[in-house]
Amino acid sequence: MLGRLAWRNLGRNRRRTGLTAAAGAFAALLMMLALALARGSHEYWIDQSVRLYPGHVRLALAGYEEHGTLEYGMRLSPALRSALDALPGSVGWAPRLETWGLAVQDADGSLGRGAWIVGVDPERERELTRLFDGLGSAELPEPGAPGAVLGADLARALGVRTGESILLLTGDYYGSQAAERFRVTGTLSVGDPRFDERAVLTHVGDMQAFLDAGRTVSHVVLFAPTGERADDLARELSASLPGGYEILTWPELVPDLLQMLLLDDAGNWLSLSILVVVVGFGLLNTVLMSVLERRREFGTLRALGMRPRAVFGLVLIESLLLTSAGIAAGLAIAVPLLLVLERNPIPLTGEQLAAAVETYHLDPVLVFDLSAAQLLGTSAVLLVVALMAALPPALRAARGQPREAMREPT
Amino acid sequence: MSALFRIAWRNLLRGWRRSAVVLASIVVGLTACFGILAWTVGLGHNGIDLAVRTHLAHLAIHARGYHADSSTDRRIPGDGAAVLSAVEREGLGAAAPRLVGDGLVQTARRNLSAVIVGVDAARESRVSSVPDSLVEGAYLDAAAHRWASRLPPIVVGEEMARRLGAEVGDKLVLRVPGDAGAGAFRVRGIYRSGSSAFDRSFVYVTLADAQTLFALGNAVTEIALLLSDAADAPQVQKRLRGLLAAEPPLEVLRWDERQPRLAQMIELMDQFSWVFYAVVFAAMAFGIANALLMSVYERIREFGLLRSMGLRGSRILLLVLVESFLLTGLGTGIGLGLAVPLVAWLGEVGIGMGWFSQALGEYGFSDRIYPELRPGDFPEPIGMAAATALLAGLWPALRAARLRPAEALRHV
Amino acid sequence: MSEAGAIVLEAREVSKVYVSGTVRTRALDGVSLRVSSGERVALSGPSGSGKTTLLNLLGTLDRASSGRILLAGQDVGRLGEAELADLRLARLGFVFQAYNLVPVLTALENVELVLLLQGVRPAERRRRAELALDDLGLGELLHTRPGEMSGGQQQRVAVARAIVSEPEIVLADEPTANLDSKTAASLLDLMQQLNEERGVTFLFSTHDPRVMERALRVIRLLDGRIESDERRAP
Repeated sequence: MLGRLAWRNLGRNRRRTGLTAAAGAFAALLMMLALALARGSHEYWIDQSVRLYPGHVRLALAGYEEHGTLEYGMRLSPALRSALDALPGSVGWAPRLETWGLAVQDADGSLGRGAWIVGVDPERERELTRLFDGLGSAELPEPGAPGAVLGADLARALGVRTGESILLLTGDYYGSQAAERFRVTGTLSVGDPRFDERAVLTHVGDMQAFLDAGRTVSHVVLFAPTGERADDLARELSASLPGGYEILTWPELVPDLLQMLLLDDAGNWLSLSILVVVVGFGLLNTVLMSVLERRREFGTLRALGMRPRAVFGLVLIESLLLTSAGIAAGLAIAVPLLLVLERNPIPLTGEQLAAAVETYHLDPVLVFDLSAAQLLGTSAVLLVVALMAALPPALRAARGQPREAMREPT
Repeated sequence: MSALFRIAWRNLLRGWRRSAVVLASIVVGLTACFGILAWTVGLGHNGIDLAVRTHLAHLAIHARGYHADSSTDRRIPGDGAAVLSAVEREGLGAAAPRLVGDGLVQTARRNLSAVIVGVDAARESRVSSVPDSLVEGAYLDAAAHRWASRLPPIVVGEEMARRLGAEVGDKLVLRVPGDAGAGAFRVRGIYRSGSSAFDRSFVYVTLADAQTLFALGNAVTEIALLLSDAADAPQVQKRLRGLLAAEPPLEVLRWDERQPRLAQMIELMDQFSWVFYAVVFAAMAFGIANALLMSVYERIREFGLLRSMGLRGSRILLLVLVESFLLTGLGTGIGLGLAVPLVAWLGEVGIGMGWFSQALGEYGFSDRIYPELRPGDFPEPIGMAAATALLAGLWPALRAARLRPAEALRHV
Repeated sequence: MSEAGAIVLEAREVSKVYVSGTVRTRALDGVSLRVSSGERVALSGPSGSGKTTLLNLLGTLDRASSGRILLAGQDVGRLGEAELADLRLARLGFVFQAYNLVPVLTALENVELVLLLQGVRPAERRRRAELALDDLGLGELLHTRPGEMSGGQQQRVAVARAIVSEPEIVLADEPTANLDSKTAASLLDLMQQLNEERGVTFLFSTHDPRVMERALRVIRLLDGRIESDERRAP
């Protein structure tokens, strides 16, 4: 009956209750949307980023992460190949041989750019990464006929088109100068300046020949079915190999992105906390007003024999019910809305917005992900706020004097 | 009108508890808005400052077409002396000539691509913070060069030195496109600018050495200009355009024209802050509207009395709106009173963002943010507060104004 | 309910001083009285004589500045708020001048509330509350809220609420003050009947002569002291 009493008390001042519940619904809705957006977009961006190039797990020689140079290349022996092929929990693997060099326009030797030259296995990349997603098969470099896919911006800076050739200059595996002509088979634009402005992608076999590197590769990337399985994959890999390797998982491979998303989360939490505090004050006011109006009634309840603690509880219940109504309304809007948004990510169309998001090497799209845990968490946070906001008025009501019952009605 | 204010004020005092709670929510919301705004402005300035002070400068003069196609073929002859003297004669700011080109840095078995910048050491230190950011060794001074080694000096970033495994005194080979090809250098100093992305790719040699390396005679590709006040950039840009000789054809660009993404990103952060303000102000509006509505309902008899005494509905509307504005104005005032000193203090000590240093460094920010508020940052949030007061006060005010005197007087 | 004649409520040399700023007001000055089970007492006196103050103290709604209040032999001055609440719940019933029904609860729920606080089980609660209301002629109004009742009906509900827990004494503060004379007479009939037939002890504070006429004992207060204490035959 106390619950009924609390519930009916909310009906006493419908406008006040309505406005307060609406503020609660507003906060609940915004929190749910913001959290679903963060969760969905972050997961999407991480996945996009991991699948562009870094992979879930990267295998290299110890010291490669620190220096990243040819000297730390590893030999991709038949034994290692078969170990990788047989690895449980792996969806596939791809070898890479990376170095830095100069890409020079063939016709005009003075026009050159620093280039990130990567030897890849195009078929494996096509299967595992989204690096070549925009390219037709004719545009991929074939083994034996030195060809290269250039980042679109790099090709533009060099003034070369598909079918023309460029000269690549760098130091080879043994430190001698190496120079070789590569025919441009295609250009790629993945939205990440590290690729679009710098990358020269060739066949790993041609790259090994170019650098006189034998069977050496810089690293091998492996893919797990999902990002969460990366740790298991890394463990399997570590168990199947002798020491001297460096095995890193995707959180270590894209730490800057993760930190950026963490920073975004921190900003979200800060903003939402402030929102919650402001809404909490509104709730405090409503409950306080309602308590101050009912001094005689609380006095009567005390006179009839209700303990102070029960009066305290009654006020808390009212606040919780009021907030629950707001949360319910927020959920009623948020859940269907999120179900729709979940299936229909919002592309960022504003040119400025898209460009800015691309600065972080991310796809300009907003992805929502509805999670029951987040909805529950949001509701729980708001209920805690409801309790905290109701504490001062509830204390006030509990401390009210039973003699107030004798007051003349005002 | 002053009577109206007095009545409104007394009404707020009469429900002082309610007014205090609403006030607290406005103060918290507004202080947070200004705090977040200041942080965003600080972050933006941090990014801009770092980029401007390392390589962008406020203005840069290049041969025409360089921005679209930055090739060492587009050059300013004669060490840029004509332009430099024009800039210095007019007292437009500190200027330094640079020769910027892509190249490859090699050690025995390591290759990294780099942006090679040839600089006039004395002038460069007036436009760039890099000469003052050394963590090891020294900058490019000609005397040391002759004394220490027969090889010309080079200064590299910490990140690049780490990747190359190079220390001060080690030999590096620079390889560039073109006929001259390559030259050996000795590491003279290692710098840390605060942006890891920058430290990974920019290396510095003397202007003369760069000209030899790129076989460019006495040409430079860029003259960087640092102003005492960044805000003057557009005017100085205009003046320079008028000042510079027609031959060779030159272009004068501001930092935000050369690096539009940086400016866009800061713009974007600004826009996201606006979303936040809108949300906070909306939440505040619920509270204000609710409190005023309560106060109106408590005073129904009083309004009835005022109406029956002949006060027009519009005056009552105004009275409630004035209460809304007083409350919001007071909250805004207190919020400002808290936020301004807070931001000033944080602007002095800075906010350490060490947790996020990798991400910030990768995107060109240093990991200490100094929040700041510019005079131009105040009008809009204050305007929003006023709009909130108006919108939140409107419903209660209309409710009060629409009461019929007879009905109101019957009300208990 | 205690045996007829036992002392249920006693005040010993009770004083109450209100302090407001620098002004001290002595509302009660050394009042002593005893109320026995089955009595029907009217506490009268002009405004400001201390009636309501004394009723507050006897009802443990307020604390005396000095002196002692004993409820069923127990000194209430030493009890904490929660203990006092339990004591009131178990032993006292209240009827207020302004009825003080909880506006959002129906008549039945208002009466049930007291039993709920006592921990009576729902079915039993409902049965007793219905019975109490029926006895007082309110059978038709079980599910009506106070706002839809007349003042007399509300006060009857309040009486039902006061007696449903079978308290040792019902304290009524100016119960007829807001009622017209016909309604007041019928309420007084009701209370007299409860006193006579069921032995419910009543203590009224009033300055209504109609109430005093019905009392078997009239205590007159003047300036915080007992001026007279007269018993009269039924």
